[in-house]
Amino acid sequence: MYTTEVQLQPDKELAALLKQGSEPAFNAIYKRYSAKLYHAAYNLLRNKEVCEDLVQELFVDLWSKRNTLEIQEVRPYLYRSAVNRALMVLRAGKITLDLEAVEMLISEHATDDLVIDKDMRKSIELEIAALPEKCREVFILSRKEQLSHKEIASQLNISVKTVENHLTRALKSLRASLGDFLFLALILLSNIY
Amino acid sequence: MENQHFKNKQSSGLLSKLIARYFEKQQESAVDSPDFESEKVYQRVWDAISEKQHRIVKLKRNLRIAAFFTLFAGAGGMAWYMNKQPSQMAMVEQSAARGETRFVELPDGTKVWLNADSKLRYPAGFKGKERHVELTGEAYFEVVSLPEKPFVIQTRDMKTEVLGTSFDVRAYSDNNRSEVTVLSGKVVVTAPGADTLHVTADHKLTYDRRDKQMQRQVVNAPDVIGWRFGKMIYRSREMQEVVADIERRYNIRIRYNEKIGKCTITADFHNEGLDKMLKVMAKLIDGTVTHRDGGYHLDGHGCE
Repeated sequence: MYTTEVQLQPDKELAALLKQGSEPAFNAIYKRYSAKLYHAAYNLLRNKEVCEDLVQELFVDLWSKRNTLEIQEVRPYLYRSAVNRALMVLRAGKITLDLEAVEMLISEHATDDLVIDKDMRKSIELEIAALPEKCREVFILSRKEQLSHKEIASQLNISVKTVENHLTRALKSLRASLGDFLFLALILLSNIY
Repeated sequence: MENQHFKNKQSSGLLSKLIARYFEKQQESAVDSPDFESEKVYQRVWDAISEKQHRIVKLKRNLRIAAFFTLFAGAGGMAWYMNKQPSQMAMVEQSAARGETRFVELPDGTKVWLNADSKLRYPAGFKGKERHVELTGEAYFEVVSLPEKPFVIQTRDMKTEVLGTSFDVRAYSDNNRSEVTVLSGKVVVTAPGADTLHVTADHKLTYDRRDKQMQRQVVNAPDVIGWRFGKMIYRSREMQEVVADIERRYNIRIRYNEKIGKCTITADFHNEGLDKMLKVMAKLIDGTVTHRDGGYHLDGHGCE
């Protein structure tokens, strides 16, 4: 769309041009990062429409704030903005993270320094306690004791299939009662135990 | 119910942390999503931006844009000179060279995208009864609506008058036909020896300077401005005209024998690249394309 000269400029120069209102620079930044930002957002949120909106709003914002923004580095700025927008989408309840995404976050990004405080622990315990009896039993054996489905089945004298059904129901119900944030804490919790 | 959970700052902080880490990691191993509809979203970005801008007070906008232009003049070596019109207003000339397209914002906030090898002249500020600009080549306009001050585009043959709308004007000097395609709103076109005609959304007007005839037809207007996004879309176009477009777009020469110049082709090119385009074109006319003596050659038997 624009000359390749602009397309090849380093981020810092593009940021300076953008500040002066250069549309080719804006276009070059868009070309360089939009599909990457979309990829990152989609991997987490798994919703095409929401992620397109996210990228759109991010760039609209970049253009309208171009005069006042102090963009030291374009890339970190764009990704920070994406984080904030993803959180906004989740807080507004527009979508909820699917289980796969939650597990990906935990397994790849959770470390010991993530603190779960007493109150959180308590509300999670309460919700677990509120599960139907058998369901709760299976859930605790699986998450806290880290037993395999097969081990749980033989211990409780039920089929593996039934174990799986109980677990699915437990997760579904906990997710509904806890919401994204606490549900995440819960999964994290069972890893820490 | 849900809100109650989000009030728990700690758990929300937990997710923020994880998501921040996730994006940090993504930043390092950045991959382009193949599913991302980049052009569509880019169009939406600008739609949202222009919607925002229209809300800005007019005076403020004029000031802002005056600054914008000065900057361009300094950086781009723009030609400034006094024009002999009674207004004595300095004229600005902006052009897109062969092989590039260019965006220009006019003093009234009107947006103009210049196609390859095209030139636009306009006053540094719009004073007087109308907003007058001159065009050679092709440009897409999104005109800011000012009902008391019509926007007028003069090309070699045609005069196109608008009140606030978006449309494409095509008037290359190597072509006898000039065209106006309207995306939204209405324009009035006049040309020597022809009637004055109104053109509305999704219509294209063609004026031929040889027989001084004007013709109006229904088109899919977004196709016509596909060039803004690197697309080239042709519906029953003469080969010679398509070749001229490609020459301008890629800044190359393509030789072809006269017989095939009048062949009409219908094709959509979406950034396929030059080689692929030429191959497709050769196939469409049952001909061949070769690269020799430092240039491209299209050959065929012609179309009856």
